[in-house]
Amino acid sequence: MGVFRKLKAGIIVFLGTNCDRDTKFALERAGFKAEYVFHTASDLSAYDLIVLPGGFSFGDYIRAGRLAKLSPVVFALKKYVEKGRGFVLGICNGFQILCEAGFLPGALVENASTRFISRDEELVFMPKVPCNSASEATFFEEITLPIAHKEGSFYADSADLARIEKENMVFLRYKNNPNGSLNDIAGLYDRKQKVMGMMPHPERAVSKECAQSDVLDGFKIFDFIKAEMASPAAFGGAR
Amino acid sequence: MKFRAKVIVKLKNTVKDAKGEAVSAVLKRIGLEDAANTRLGKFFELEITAGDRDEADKKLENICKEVLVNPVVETYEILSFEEMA
Repeated sequence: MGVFRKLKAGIIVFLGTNCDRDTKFALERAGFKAEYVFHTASDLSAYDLIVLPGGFSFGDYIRAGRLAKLSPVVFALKKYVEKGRGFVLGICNGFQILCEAGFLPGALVENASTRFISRDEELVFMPKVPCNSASEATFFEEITLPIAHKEGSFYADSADLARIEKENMVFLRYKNNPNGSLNDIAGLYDRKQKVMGMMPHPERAVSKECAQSDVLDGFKIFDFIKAEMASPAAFGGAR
Repeated sequence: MKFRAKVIVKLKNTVKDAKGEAVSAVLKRIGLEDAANTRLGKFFELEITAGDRDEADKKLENICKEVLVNPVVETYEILSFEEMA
């Protein structure tokens, strides 16, 4: 990969996706080249990063993400991940789709309050895997990102939950659990497959004009993804 | 041969059913039932065309597992699956 080539992101657009434009704006601000990819696409190999944005794909019929997981592009995404071609990020409805399709363990169910919650939420961001040689504080950072969902309560059975914690897949936790998520889980990151899913919206926290507050912590997520993509271990040199 | 299936899908008992709890709370408040332990589910009615009963059973099972149900959080029950007149 040339030093000066911009990383190319593909933003998947399902019927009912509604955060695709915000996501493109945010990715471009964060330094990516970004374009839309329709859900009928069968080949994603042109992209270094695939983003499944928020919204209500297929009207959330049956359950959030259920019909979207049967789209041609999701079968293409399976190949993309198997080949280790690039990084996958699912935001909100995108996270629900990644769980429904089995890319990430667990599932998102109705918020404990049964309400749609839209507000800024304090989070603990844990990009790195903690190790014994350094203090825990090195690996934790408090950030704020907006959430906007009704089915955002993370659930996994006890075996999956144990595996999630053992493999350090939780990279984002709520400080004040708003929705009943088990273990305060707000986002998961499969560090081997390079698949990340999160309920909060980083793309809504990258410009003072659009963010709900002045905190632009969305960049922390996108910068972390860039760093992960640049790490020598990433993608086994498949690029 | 044409069959009509009726399927219900429920959240597993280990998964908190927030909507069901809201219904139970109302039943208690209006004095109709103090401990209803309500669970909400989804009902599907669909038609399946197949050469014989076995094929129809397999088709329905696939439809349930691949589309109607997420085994991480849900279970399903086939209420009826009859050949159509």
